[in-house]
Order: sequence, then structure tokens, then C-alpha cells
Amino acid sequence: MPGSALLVSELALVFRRRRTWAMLAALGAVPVLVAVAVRLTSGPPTGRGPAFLDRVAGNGLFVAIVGMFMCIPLFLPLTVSVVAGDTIAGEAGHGTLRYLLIAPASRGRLLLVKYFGAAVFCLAAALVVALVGVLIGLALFGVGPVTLLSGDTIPLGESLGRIGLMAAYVAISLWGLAAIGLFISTLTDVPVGAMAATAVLSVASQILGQLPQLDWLHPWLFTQHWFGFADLLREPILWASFGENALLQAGYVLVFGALAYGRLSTKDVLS
Amino acid sequence: MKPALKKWMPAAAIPAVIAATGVGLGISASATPQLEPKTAEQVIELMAGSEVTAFSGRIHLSTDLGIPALPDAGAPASFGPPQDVQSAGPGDGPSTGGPGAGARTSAADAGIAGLLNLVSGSHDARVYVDGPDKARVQLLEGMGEKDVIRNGTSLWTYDSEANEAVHTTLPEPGSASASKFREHRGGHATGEAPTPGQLADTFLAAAEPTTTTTVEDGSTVAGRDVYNLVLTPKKSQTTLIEDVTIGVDAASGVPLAVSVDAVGQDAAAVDLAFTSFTPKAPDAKLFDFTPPADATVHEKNLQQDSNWPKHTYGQKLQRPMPSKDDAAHQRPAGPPDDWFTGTGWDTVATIPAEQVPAELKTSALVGQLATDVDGGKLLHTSLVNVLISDDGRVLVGAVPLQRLQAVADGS
Repeated sequence: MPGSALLVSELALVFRRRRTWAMLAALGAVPVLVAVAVRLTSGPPTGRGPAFLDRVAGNGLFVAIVGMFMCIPLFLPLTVSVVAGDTIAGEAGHGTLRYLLIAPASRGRLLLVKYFGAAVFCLAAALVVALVGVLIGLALFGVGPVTLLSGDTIPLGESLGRIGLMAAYVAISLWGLAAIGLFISTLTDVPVGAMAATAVLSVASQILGQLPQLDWLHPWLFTQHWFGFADLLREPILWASFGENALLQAGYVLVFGALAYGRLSTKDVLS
Repeated sequence: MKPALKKWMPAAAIPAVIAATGVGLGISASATPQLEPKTAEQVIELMAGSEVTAFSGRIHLSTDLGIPALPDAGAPASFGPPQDVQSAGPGDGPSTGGPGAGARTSAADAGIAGLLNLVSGSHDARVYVDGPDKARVQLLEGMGEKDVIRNGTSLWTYDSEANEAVHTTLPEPGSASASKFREHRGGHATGEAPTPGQLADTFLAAAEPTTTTTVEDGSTVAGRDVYNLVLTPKKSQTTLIEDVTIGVDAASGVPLAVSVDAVGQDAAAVDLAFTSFTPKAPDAKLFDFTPPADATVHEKNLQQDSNWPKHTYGQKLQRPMPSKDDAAHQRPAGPPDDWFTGTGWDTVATIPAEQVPAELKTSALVGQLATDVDGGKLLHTSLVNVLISDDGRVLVGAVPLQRLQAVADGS
């Protein structure tokens, strides 16, 4: 495949950065902190604290679930904003964008490759939280069959499968944000500006989602289904929110991908 | 066209395509289906003759009773999901301020608040039914779920937020109490079952003095074509209910939607509809419920438990069977007949002072929600008025306050 060399070099660019690894380590620290805190205390009483925190002491697998719940509103969008905001603006800031455009790859393909790198980071970030959560839960509490919200208990293998699904849900939830970041990144030569703007948008969207006066807008917010992965803990799985979320994120990817294409392909690249 | 403009084409075209698809889907969903015209009697006959005994589906309930939204007690600590589908469980009062901020709300208040939460805002549930004695209802909440599972004589309820399960043993289907129980529910435990046509006749004859029954344009519910059966109270009835619309599936006769309109309110007061419906037997595993190993489990035996059945099933069993023409037959069996004044839509139920739960009188929440009126305190919703009279009686009815006051004075 002609584009695969470009893909590999983009992935290498993202994952060879020390910054990327620092962010993944910070994300991995969240479930570790949760687990250690619960281990050192007797744990919170039923119904207090973030969802499912009271289940952690009984079953280490819930560390992964609590970890994802705690990371999705702020930490995950923040790291994704850094990666996505850096895609084009970072190259422009370094003065390397024009060399990329001299290469025999179209601007459209460059965007695709850049977006692919950011999307893979989303997946990696979600998997790190889930995987570290499962491992630290196993080490500190032991793991067992998971009790679902519906009250049914599923065997260990299926429980791990559900956590994998939740990680996939979280990664898909972030793809829309990554596309927004990509577009903002084409607007500026200052990567920090693009990163900050993307992060601010993710928070602003969540605030809008909390205002009941704007409930006509809610179905269109890319953060609307971010917490919907709890629906994967029902029996049978409620796929509706997974589907709605995927559709919504696909819409954002298409719209902002097209905007980014329009911007980058008409841009006078001077740096 | 300038080459630069061409590059922006996708950015303009994609939102346009998305918008067009959205509008197109909206139009096809609201389109009036072409249905063979049917009279009200035929639609009721279709509904009564429905042979669907096993189905699964998702239900959306939205209520707008004109009562102020309560502070949401179900919010997770710091970051929460969008709150519109959240509802408070009685267990999480202490975690947030709740209605009585500052002081811990009493258990009774939490119960009432939970009940009010259930009848305000919007809720989603999944329903699985397989025959008359297997059913499961899952009330979906943001981060929790409440389940009710019935399998034969075993009835489980499970609340994920409290991690609490209650097991109730229902009367054996063959036992005397069970058949009596069924007689009162359906009225036809023995003898020839009436045909759907007879049922439709009986219903229309009973409704005739108070109600106009019509069939309006069909609509689409859960992707299925439905007949809309509209029950409108006659002008002689003084009631808060404007009309009741029942959406009856044209293919299977299953009622898929019910909405109740209140007088003087644009939005439906209660709107209950399937958002998906599958007339097939659900997975049998769903009805085998084993409570989680770490859950608190309570056992209840309906035949021995003397507490709550006394007011409901117990009284029903002692009551004489209502005759078919008795107006009481149209109401769900339950409290004694002499509680009721009037027939039809403007029926008022008067609960004697000694039967009123003590929590209702002492509840601070009721005190906050009620307004003082002549003769007592009024709890007002757009559909139902509740008058707590000064002498301790409680009057309930889907009627204006004046009628409640008149009934309170008259008896």
C-alpha cells in the first residue's frame, strides 16, 4: 500500500514523543490512584462518590470502569486535545509543514494520515486506562465475575470483554473531538493555541450539556453520549447508545474532516 | 468556479447531506400511514383480540404534570452525564442537598421525592414479556437500573444503586387465593372467555354515558403503524383530563402508546410509548434472576406478610365481586367502593382520615409543595388534584379544586 509508509511514520512520530508517553502514564496513574486510595481506606459507603466506586473493594475489575468514568470528562479530552491540536499546527510551528507538502502526497492524504495518528492515540489512551485498571485491580483486590446494573452476574471472561467494549466506546467518543482538534490545528501555526482551543471546546460542550434550557441542542453535542458506556453494563447490552454515539462521532469526523480539508488545501503554507 | 472554492465543497456538502437526511427521517417518521379505516369498536376489538403474549421492547415515558422539577438527587459526585434521564433513588438523599437542604431528609420524604421523580421528567425502560407469568421490566437510569423480574410465582426486584434485592413469593397459580386474585384482576377466571367483539361492546356500553370514543388519523410508533383511539370526556364531565389517546398497533392489536392530555396544557401530561417493539419471545435466560452475591436480599411472602397486602389484596379478597355493570368495575380493583363519589371522569376518591398514612401529614416536602386553600391543603398537578382537608381526610381526583371542595363539604 502506497500510503502505509506515511501511516507508519506518523504513528512513529506520535508514539516516539516523550510527551505522548508522559500523557499515557498520567492517564494510567488515575486507576492506580483510585485503587490505592480504596485499598488504604475502607472504601466509600454505598452510593457515594463516582459511580461504581463502592464496588471496587469487592471486585478489582471495577477499578478499570471507575478509571474510565473519572478520565472521560477531563483527562482523556485534555490529552487528545494535545495530540489533535498538534497535528498540523505543530508541523507548521516547526516549519516542517512545507517539506511534508513537497513530498508527493496530496494535502488530503496528509490530513487523513494525521487524523489516523490522533485516532490511534485515542484508542491507546482508552486502552491504557482500562488495562492498567484491570492489572492494578487484580493486584490489589483480585478479580471475579462482574455484577451488572441489571443485577445479573456474568463470568470473568465476558466481564473482560465488556471492559474491552467500554474502552472501544470511550475511544470512539473521542474521535469526534480529535476531528475538531484537527480542524482547529489547520487554522493556526501555534500548536498550543490549537490544543487549548480544543480542550476548551470539550469542556464548553459538557457545560452546555448540563443546561436544561438548551435541551434541543443536547442531541447534537459531541459530549452527549460520553457517559453512555454504562449501558454496556446492562443485561442484555443496550446497544442503542453505542450506535447513537458512533453515528454522532462519525458525523463530527465527516464535518470537521471536510472543514479541515477545505482549510488546509486552500491555505498558503509559508512555514 | 474558483479552485479554492472547490476545496471547500465537501465542508458545505456534508452538513447539507446530514441535515437533509435528518429532515427526511423526521418527515417519514411523522408521516400518516395509510391504514384501512376502522371504527372505534373495530379498533377496540382488534386490541382485545390481540394474540401477542410475548414481546420485548423499549418504552419512553415523559410526564409534564406542571409540578416544579425537584433538585436532582441522583447526580454523581463531580462530573455527571447529561441529567435529563436521571432519577433519584430513595437511597441517595444524603449525597446531595436534596429538597430539605441542610437537614437530612426523612425516609418518608425520600420516598415521596422518589415517587415524584418517577412521575416527573422522562424515563426509559426496557420490557420483556413471555406469556402471562414471565416478565421483566428494567427502569434505565443514568448510572443505575431498577429491575422487576417475575418468573412464575417468584417476583424479584433489584435496585443497582442500593445493591438491594427483594424476593416475593406470589400465590401458587392453582391455589384458592390466586384464582380469586385473578378473578378480581381480569374477572374471568372461570367460564367462557368473552370474544373480543363482546369485550369491545361491553367497554363501549360502559363508557358511553361519560365518554366520546373516536378513531383519529393513524401514526407511527416504534416504526409500526398504529390506529389512534381517542377517549374524550363528555362536556358534562368536570375533569382536568382533555383526552386520552391510545395507539393500537394495526398489525398485532397491541397498544403501543398512551398519552393523556390535560386541559389547558399544550404538552401531553403523560406520554408513554414504545420506542422499539419486537413481538417475539425474549431470551428465556432473562427471567432467571439470581441476586448478586454481595447484594442485600430481603424475603417477602405474600400470603404471610401482613403489612402491605392488608390494604390492597386483603381488602380486595373480602370485597364482594363487583357486577359487570357496576361502575367500579372500570376502575382498578382496590379500595372500598364507599370511598368514591361520582362515576366516570369526575370521580373523587375520599380516603378516610384513619387510613391516611401518617407520613403524608408530617412530611415537610408535602408541606412545601402544597398550597393552602379553603378547607385544607392542595397538591396541584395538571392532571390530578389532591386535597388534604383540615379534618385529615385526603381527596383525590382528576378534577378541578372546586369539585374536590364540594365533595369534601358534601360528605
